[in-house]
Amino acid sequence: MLTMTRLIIILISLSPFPSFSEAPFSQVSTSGCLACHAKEQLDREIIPRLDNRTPNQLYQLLLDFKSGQRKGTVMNRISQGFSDQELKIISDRLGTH
Amino acid sequence: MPTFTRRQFLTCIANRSLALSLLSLKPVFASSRRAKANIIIGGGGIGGTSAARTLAQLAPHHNITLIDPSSTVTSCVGSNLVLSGNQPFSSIQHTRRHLGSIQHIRATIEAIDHDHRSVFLSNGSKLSYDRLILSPGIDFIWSGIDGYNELISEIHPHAWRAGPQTLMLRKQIAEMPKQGTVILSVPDNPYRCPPGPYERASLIADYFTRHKMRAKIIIIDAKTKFSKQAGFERAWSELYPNMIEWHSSETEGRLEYIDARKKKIGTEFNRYRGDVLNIIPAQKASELTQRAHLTDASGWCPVDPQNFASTLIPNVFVIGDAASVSPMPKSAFSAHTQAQVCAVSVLNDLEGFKSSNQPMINHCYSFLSENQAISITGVYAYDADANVLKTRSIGESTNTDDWTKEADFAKSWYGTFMREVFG
Repeated sequence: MLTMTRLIIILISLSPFPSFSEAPFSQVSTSGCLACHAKEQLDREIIPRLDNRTPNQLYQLLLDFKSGQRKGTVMNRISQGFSDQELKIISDRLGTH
Repeated sequence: MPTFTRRQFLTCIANRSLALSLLSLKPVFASSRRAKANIIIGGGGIGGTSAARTLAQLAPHHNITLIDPSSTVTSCVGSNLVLSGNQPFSSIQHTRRHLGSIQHIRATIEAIDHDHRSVFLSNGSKLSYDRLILSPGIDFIWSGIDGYNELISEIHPHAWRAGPQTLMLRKQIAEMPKQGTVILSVPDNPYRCPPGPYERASLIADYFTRHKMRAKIIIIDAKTKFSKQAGFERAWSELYPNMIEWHSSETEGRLEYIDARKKKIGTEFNRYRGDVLNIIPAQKASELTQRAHLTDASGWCPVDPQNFASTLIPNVFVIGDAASVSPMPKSAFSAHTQAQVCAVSVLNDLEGFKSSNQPMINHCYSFLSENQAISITGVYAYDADANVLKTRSIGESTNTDDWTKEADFAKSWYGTFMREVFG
């Protein structure tokens, strides 16, 4: 039981992106998203913007892309490169609270 | 299913809280020893501009200096659409805007004195740095093909650096005979933009279908396979039947010589005559990095893929096409993502913190025709156990994907991406 407790403690203390809280600067993982999904969209730009969704809506979308439940062009492939927890962090950062 | 006692649960919570409180204190310590640092960025293309803007956005209190001779950037991305006459040259020209606290010096870095952490500029001045980020791009290897050199490339342009050569090649394609041949030679890996030559062939063919139905493109490849091959080959057979011939090094061997005057080339096994010779030379990291001892035997700059620090020289970082970041391809999007990881790492390092592992995305489109495109994507992250950058996921458009929709997205992507980089 002691070993299990230790394991749980380690798991809780280690987030997948420790630097989000450890280091003062960390804005990276979402920057790739914003190179395609404009913050201020022009008329001809049809790739959906992200800030008109809540973090939960974004997270669900990303999970659906990852599982293949929702069919996109590139998002199925890209979402598969991230853990669910990472997708959650990205959604929290990009969605509108 | 394990069960926990109340004590064990509280221990967990206590540890979590302790961890959080310690972590939340760190930035406070950090800001107390916050000092002004000199960060110099050499090269203001996609990588360098992204790095500078990220630094200025996150830490405007530092002295951030961007060294680049020009205020306008001509992007290689999109340049094949200019070649084929689908887009005007102005569509790939971008001006850096909203530079904020960034000081832009119009010059180039000529030399680096690592011991005294200073750079010597083409305008005669000398600047010292605490951290130097280089995004210097590529240079060409002129040896290796008899009869081909930098001077000849001004007659038979490679156009692999977008600019005057793009326009020169466009003019040659427009003026060649209606039944003429374009010879496009492609170097071995690694080079800037792996699918670029095949997009170029596709878009020249797109132009031919409008203006020169009987013209041809012969691709002489130093490789035996290429990026997005399935998609390109399907498009070539469906959209441009008998117009594009791809010759692999398996059947041609090496490209041995070019007769610039007679517009002939010779491989180990065959001879060809073209009306337009588009020889894309083999590539290496920019000569500055070579002079500054930042390259290894491969001709590229070895870096730590966690932060893009040179593994050869301290306090110098190399991003973009010049860096060896396998398996990430040398693409504009890679340079942009790397710039941000590097900028964040440099800032954390200046404040005494180590940045954590951040996944990096590469994503790019290749046009097959004006209204059809395919994409390739990859997610990469550092693997601490193996001490290498690993591919987490990679994929490209399949034959069942909607290529018209991808072309619409590609046009949208280009605008957003360039605004994100250049402001």
